[in-house]
Amino acid sequence: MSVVFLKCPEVVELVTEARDDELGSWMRLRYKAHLIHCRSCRRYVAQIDDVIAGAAELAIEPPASSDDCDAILAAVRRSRSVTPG
Amino acid sequence: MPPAGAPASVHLGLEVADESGDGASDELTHERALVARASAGDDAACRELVEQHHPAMRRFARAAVDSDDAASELVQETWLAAFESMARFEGRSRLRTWLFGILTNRLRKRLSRGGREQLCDFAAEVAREERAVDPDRFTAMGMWRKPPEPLVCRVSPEDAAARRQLREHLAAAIATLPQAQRMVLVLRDVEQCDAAEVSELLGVSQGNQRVLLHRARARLRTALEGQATKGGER
Repeated sequence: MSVVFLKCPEVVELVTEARDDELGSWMRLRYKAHLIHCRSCRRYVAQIDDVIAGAAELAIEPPASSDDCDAILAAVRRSRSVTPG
Repeated sequence: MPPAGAPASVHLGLEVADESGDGASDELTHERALVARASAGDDAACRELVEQHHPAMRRFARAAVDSDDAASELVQETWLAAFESMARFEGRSRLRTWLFGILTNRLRKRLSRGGREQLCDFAAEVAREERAVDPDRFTAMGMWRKPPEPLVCRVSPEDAAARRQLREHLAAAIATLPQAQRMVLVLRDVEQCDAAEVSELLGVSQGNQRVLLHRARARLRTALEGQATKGGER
C-alpha cells in the first residue's frame, strides 16, 4: 500500500468501513481523494449503494397473512391452555 | 446513532425511548402498550404484534436455517417463547430485536442438541481469504482493466417494475450467500439493525460482522453485475 495514493483493489476493500465511519481520518482522506479521480471506483461505490438500497426494499412486505397469524395465535392459545397456572 | 467517539454500547438496550415525543418515541410507546395488552391476554394486541413482526422473523429465520419448513418451525417456537415471557420484556430494546434474540437463543439450543456450539462458524468464515472484487479485474498497476459493468437493474423510485426485478434478483442472490454472510446481511441491510445489535445477536465481534457484511454486499454486487445484459453503460 502506497503511503499516500490508494490503488483500486485497496479502495474496494474499504467501502464498508467508510460507510460505517470506521476509517481513521488519514485513511478517509486518501479514500475520498481516490474516488475524486477514479470514475470506476465511484461507479463501484454507487453500485454497492444500489445493493444496500435494494436490500432495504426486501423488508417492504405486506404484514403477515391472516392464515399465518391464525396459526401462530392458535398455537399460543394451545400452549397457554396446557401450561400449569 | 451515537456521535463519533461516544462509547459504543453492546447492550441491546441502546434504543431506549426518550421523552422527546418524536415519531420514534411514539412508536415505542405504542409498542410497549401493545406488549402490555398482549401480556394480559388481549387477543387483538397479540394479533397486531404477530402481524407486525412475523414477516421480519420469517426473513431472519430463513437466513439462519436451510429450509422453509425449519424456518417456520423456528418462528413458531419463537412466538410461543415470546408470548410466554412477554411480561418480562422491559422495553430496553425494540421489541423486534428482543424477538430476534429469542429466535437466536432457540436456534442455539437446537444446534447444541446436535453437538454444535454456535450459530455458525463465524471465525472460520472470516479467516477464509475472500476479496470484494476478483483480482483479475485489476491490472498489475492496481487499476480496473474495465470499469464495473452496469448492474442488471437498480433502485429507481419511479419504476416499480425495475424495483420488483431488483428485489427478485437480490433475494435469489442472498439465498446463495454463505450462511454467516447471509445472516449478517439480512440483519444489517434488510432489517436495518445496527452493528452493535448484530454483534450481540450473533455473538460475533463488530469487526468480524463488518467483514462479513462487506463480503456479502460485494458478492451481491457481483451477482447483479453478472446478470446484467451486455453493453450499455449506466
